[in-house]
Amino acid sequence: MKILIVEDQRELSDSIVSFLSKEDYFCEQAFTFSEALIKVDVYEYDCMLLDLMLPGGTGLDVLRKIKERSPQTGVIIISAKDSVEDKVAGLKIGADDYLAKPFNLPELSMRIFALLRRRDFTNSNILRSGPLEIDLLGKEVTVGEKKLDLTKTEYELLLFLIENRKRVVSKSALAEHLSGDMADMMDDFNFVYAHIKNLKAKFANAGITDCIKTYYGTGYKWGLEG
Amino acid sequence: MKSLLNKSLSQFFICVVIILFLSAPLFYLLTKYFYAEDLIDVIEATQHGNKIPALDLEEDIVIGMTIQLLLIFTVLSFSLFITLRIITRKLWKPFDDTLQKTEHFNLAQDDIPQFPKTNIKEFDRLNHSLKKLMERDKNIYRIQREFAENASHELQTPIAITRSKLDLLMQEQLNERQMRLVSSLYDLNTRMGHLNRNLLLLAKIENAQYTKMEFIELGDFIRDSLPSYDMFLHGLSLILIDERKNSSTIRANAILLSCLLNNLIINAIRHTVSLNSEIRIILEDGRVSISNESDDGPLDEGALFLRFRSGNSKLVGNGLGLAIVKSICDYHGWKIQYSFLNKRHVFTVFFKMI
Repeated sequence: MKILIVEDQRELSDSIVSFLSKEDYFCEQAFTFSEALIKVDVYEYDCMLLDLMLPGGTGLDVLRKIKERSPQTGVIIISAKDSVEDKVAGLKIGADDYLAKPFNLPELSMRIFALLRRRDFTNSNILRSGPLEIDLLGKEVTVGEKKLDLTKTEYELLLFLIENRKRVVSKSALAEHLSGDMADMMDDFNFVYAHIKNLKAKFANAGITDCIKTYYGTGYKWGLEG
Repeated sequence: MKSLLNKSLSQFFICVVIILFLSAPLFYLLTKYFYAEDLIDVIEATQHGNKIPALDLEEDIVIGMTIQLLLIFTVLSFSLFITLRIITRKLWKPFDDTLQKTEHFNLAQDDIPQFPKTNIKEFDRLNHSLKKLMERDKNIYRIQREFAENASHELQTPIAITRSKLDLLMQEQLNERQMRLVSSLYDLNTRMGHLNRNLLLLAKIENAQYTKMEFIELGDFIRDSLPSYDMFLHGLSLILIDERKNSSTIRANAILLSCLLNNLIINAIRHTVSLNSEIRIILEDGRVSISNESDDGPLDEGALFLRFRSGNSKLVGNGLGLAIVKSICDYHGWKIQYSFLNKRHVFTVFFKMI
């Protein structure tokens, strides 16, 4: 999988590259408008992360260019300019997703995952980990033959952990992901505990233990292999 | 252009002249029938060769003078009255207009008012300096608002970079002490991000950037949003009581409306200490109230809607939630009210119906 990261903040761009390196992604970076245009012109990418405010021009023009040249490339806009107009304009031109800065890297990773899966029809809509099987379309989780009855929040939580399976995810990143639009009003992230506890209990009932590793009560990691 | 004093003096003078002119026949009659009466009698008698009749010169002079004085006094007071009542009112009208426009001026919303042209020097100076003052204030206000918005924008990037590095740091093999440190930094960074985004939201509302208005049925809107609060409830129940007789459609920006409801409801959830209690949303004609149970007394209403209100250390929020609620209400021309009833904090929004 080839990913182009168009972001003028070198430090942020580097962080993204090193965070994504755990997947088998091949990341390339562009730091200016013209650099981005050249790369888009010469190479093909599966996915592009695009900042809108670039030295030398607007990201929307890069977006137009790539949609013209290779419409199948998935584009996620990452912007500090969290305005509705930009969002609408970006999605209209053909961006697939929009992530406002500041974002959590596990969130970004999950969005890329979802985007590539949506785009790539050969991928099945079943996600597996250990004895666990998740039907992404029906939003159903089964262990062996047994269906697990999860709430919407628990399902989201599970998916987020599994799609970041090689990484430690912080409590606040989970809280941000779960509360979505309401994140900005929540400055207490402890509601995550309760949901993690319930999820663990449901897995224990189904005979799976140690699926979620807790790091000193502040970080979480998906514990099942595969 | 004349000064106010000159103008009123000259108008008074003109008024006196006109009224004196109009009262000239009265003076004529006065002279003829009092001062000249005996003289006419004498002339007539002499012409006809008669004896000069008895004269009442003394009496005529006394009465004539009295009438004359009265007449002059009447003329002057009448002119004065007209000048004061009618002319002055006309003269001060531009001042009245200016005063009215200044009273209704709102720095945040209106354009600078157009003052009427006047040919009185003082009023013209007043209008001129008021206009200059308003322009300057407006400019400062605009710069300040833009600064708030730009500052928040600029802050997003360093916050994003810091967070990305914390995400990376978290992947290292950390011992407990290190992990707790990184986690608390992560929490703080997240909080900083929220604070910044809320400031940006406030700046954007004040800069009137949410222009898209829709017709929204309140009942449906609230009912649709209820499931999104489930994950925060933890044993609390959130109930909607619909006591309306009519449907209530309002004109609002959907993003802001949902932000307003989210803030009030999350606030209510967050400040409810006892488990198993109810958060109530009561929908009545023209208003919605959201209430939660409380063990404490009423909150200080004066400081409630101010930014970063301090004092209550039990609050975890960033102190901007209610300021945002207020700002959204102001933006749409709605009213928000706080009351403490039956040991419940009640926030009521009065909507503008259409």
